[in-house]
Amino acid sequence: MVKLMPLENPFQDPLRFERRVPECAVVIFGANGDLTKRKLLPALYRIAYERRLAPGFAVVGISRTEMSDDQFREKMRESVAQFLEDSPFDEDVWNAFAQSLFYVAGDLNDAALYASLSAKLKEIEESRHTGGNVIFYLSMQPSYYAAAAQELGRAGLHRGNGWRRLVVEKPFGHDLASARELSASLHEYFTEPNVYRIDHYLGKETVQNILAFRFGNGIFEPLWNRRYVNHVQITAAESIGVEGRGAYYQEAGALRDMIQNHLLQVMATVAMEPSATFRPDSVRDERSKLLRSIHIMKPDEVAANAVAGQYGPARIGGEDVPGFRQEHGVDPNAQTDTYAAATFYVDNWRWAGVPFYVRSGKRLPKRVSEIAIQFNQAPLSIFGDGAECAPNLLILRIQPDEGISLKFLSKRPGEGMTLRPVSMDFNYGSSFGERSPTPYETLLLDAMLGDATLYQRQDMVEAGWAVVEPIQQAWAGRQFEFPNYAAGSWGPAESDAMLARRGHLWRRP
Amino acid sequence: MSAQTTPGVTPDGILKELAALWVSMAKDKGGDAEHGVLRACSMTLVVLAEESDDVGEIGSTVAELMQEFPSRAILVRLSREQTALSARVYSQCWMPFGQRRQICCEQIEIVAPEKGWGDLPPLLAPLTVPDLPAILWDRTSRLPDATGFATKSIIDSERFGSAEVLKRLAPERIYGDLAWTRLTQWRGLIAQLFENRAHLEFLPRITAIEIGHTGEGVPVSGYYLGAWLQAGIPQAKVVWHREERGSACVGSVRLVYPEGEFSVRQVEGQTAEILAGGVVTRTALPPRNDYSLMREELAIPGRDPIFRRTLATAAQLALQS
Repeated sequence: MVKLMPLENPFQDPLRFERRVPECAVVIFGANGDLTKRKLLPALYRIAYERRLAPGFAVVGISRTEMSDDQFREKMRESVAQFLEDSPFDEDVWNAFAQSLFYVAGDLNDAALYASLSAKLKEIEESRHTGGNVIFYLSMQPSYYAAAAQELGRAGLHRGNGWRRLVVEKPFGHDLASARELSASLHEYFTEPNVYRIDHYLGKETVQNILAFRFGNGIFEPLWNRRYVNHVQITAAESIGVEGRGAYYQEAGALRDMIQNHLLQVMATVAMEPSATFRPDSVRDERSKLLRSIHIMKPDEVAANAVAGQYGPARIGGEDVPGFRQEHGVDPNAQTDTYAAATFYVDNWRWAGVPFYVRSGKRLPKRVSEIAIQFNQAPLSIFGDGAECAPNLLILRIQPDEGISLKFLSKRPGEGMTLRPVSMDFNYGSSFGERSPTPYETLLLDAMLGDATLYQRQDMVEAGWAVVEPIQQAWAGRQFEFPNYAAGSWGPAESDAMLARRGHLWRRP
Repeated sequence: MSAQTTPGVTPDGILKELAALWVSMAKDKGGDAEHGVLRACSMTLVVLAEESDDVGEIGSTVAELMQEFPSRAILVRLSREQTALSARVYSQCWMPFGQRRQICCEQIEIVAPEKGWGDLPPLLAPLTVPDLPAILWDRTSRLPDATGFATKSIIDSERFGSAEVLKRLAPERIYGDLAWTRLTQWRGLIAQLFENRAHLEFLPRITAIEIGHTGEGVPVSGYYLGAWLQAGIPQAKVVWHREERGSACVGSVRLVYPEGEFSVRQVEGQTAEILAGGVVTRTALPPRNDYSLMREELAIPGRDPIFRRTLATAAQLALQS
């Protein structure tokens, strides 16, 4: 007798609720660490509270500290109660959720840990019907990623009855060579579709808003090219300093920390070709293609097209703020770029000759992230010599308040023909009625659903490193005259000069 | 909010008053283009309310909805005492956090004599914003013919007191029903169970769908849930039974197979208990207010094929039971 089984869940309703998450176990390496306590467990609890977790879901925490399942549950209860954002802590929901938490102690480099983990996962698969689906979340120092992935592979944990996914956080290497090396280690056992690299800067909503704006409307895409676009400015500005993380930031800098990954991803989303479908890999294919089309600077092009800056002390809002070199944990002679700006070009027919100015910095006047697309001016002004002739600007605001603005000229009411710039907003931000999910909720859900839209692919990582490599090489070992901008200003004068050479000005957001 | 009262009620008169309202608001801002007033509109929302409805509460719900669904809102109140139409126009404004510009939507309040409510559609049609969806939220039990002005009508069939109303919903029109919307959380929990392939294997073996409800007769939501479940488990028989405790119309769902069951039931407070494969979990099941229900319906301005299919089956189930 042929047993007929439905292949698909007949109860999905995509108009009314988001896709349900399949049963799985999430193994968290570094379960005793800050990220787990402050972000991961609160996010998972919240997903459970929102009715999005499967009944058989399980968490296995791993770290070196010896403790029982119950002790781990109690620790996590305290963390979740303390770090849950904008949500009630419900005892009933917690008590049920806590039964899905398990713990295994051991050393990352000890094969015995993986044997114990394997036994635990088998037990969970049988008792909680997870189907063998497992996410391995490496919440640890990136230098341990390779070792953990290889031990998982040696223990055979990279495969099972269900899917097995590896989640890692940035940085993915510190240059192109180290990124390739890391990738090779991960790929020894985990194939690329099963490696999820967290590098969220653009939230899913923002990425989708930009794509919807570009490809959901017929009127903007015809203008989205070198014939109509004069230049593009991408800004990620922070008003705060390193906030006690000076020692970490000293090794990173704005170029590595923001431009290589986040801002190049933004640029790719804005400049990419339309994808054939909206499936994650289709979109990532086009973003990757764009990244690989960015002109790689020759060594003699770096000086004119990249600027490094470091903030010095200043008085802001009546208070003295230290310069970077005076921050706690920072070498007084540090050569770290707390500000970086670069001019990129895309070598394709759509964008040839259009400069993409990208900047990011700490201790700038305000916290703002935006993309400003400046269009070419009207070829002729028929309104007289003194008429206002500001170019049209399309601003895609990422934060603090997400939205889209179009600036254009209109006639001032009344006699005469005086033009003035006006701004039209297309997007009013999210509803105030519903709580937005935290980034980790979104990322964990996506990893469970297998939606890789927000995750970086290896080719995108390598393309990003390849773009900044000439700049890294030019800056390595160089003695900059730092600091070269005061905290609270918009960055070094050289950055303004970089645009001025092309007749352009940085926008003041 | 600023308001104007119209002496005579005609569509042209009302539209003229709306135009004047925007002009006066712009003047109030001193012609400041940078931080002036921004008119926003994504649809026309017509709310039909009985005299006994709490207008303040409706107004608050509409105001909340405006922030995500900026609309020209037309609130029509039926009155036993009034013998002629009256109308006034005003704006509802808010300033999004972190911005310096107000966003404003138009609101029209019409008081209509109860006896003459059938004359409303010709008045309402010219007032809908062109090229955008027009949604009727019918809070009465009158089921007006909204063909002329609404692309979608939202009712709450629980107000009708009987599932008979399901037969009266014209199949060619687009409807939403808050009795169905209230089930979204339940349906989500049940859908979640069958994301597990091991559980999917049990679907062909389920023989009974048992739905527990409060109240004397089976509520409309009970028929909806039975119909929806039966679409996914066609061989199973749907039975309803009354439960003593619980404040929700639907209190429990059991999907029974020879060796066991899957179940979702509301337990104390705002919690649901789910049983599947021997594993028991709990999750939040908070009550839903009008804002939450309408927000879900307004996000679907067009046809909902799953609801449409379920409606047809639910009407048949109600007839048979």
